[in-house]
Amino acid sequence: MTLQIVELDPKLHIRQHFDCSNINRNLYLQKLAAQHRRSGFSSTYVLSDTKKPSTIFGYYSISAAQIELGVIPKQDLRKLPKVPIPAARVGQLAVDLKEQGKGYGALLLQNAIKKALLVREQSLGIHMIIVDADSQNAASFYRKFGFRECNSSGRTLYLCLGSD
Amino acid sequence: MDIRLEEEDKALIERAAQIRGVKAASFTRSIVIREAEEVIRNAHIVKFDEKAARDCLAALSKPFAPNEALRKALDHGSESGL
Repeated sequence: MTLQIVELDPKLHIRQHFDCSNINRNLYLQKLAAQHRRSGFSSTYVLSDTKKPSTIFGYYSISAAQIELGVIPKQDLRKLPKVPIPAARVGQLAVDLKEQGKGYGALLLQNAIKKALLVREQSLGIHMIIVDADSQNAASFYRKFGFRECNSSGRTLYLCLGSD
Repeated sequence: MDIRLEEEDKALIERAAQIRGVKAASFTRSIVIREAEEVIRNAHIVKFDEKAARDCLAALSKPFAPNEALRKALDHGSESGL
């Protein structure tokens, strides 16, 4: 089996069969992902087998975001090129129930991080990745890979991409 | 955009609009637009608390330093061409 991660193609990928057990993640893929792509709000990438590309194993969506470090005094911020700080946000990441336990979540996440690193190298100033976690399990998953909480809500985590 | 409202919702909105001294339509419009702007702002802007902001600031001036789990995931992805 050869895996691929490609941009969501509503004509190819069968979104209705996707079930990750989280109703919001299912609905996002089925109802919103293509709409968000058309409106330029976010892009969605799909993991599948090259031999059966219409079956969605998992997906993530990525969009632009900005960070506000409002609590830090201005003089401490002066080294940064821009405030608010530009970031990439992985708003959705999910794996189908039938495909869980195979490391596909990590595969999707590392792909999203590589995309953000590529954008950073092309000097578009992406300084970090933000992820949204709507459960303790999701938050633990991201913490394992070095993500940290942005604030006490615990629902948003960040990973710094650093600078060269 | 064609919004249908129940009679009791309409009455409620009209009462609130009266208190503000504006017409129900302009009251509804201003509230909905304010809410829409808030949704869009929240979707794009992430606020950090002080500890996170200081940690983040320190990490931003250093090179990218993935932990072991992430480094392995990145390597594994590269081996699969992903």
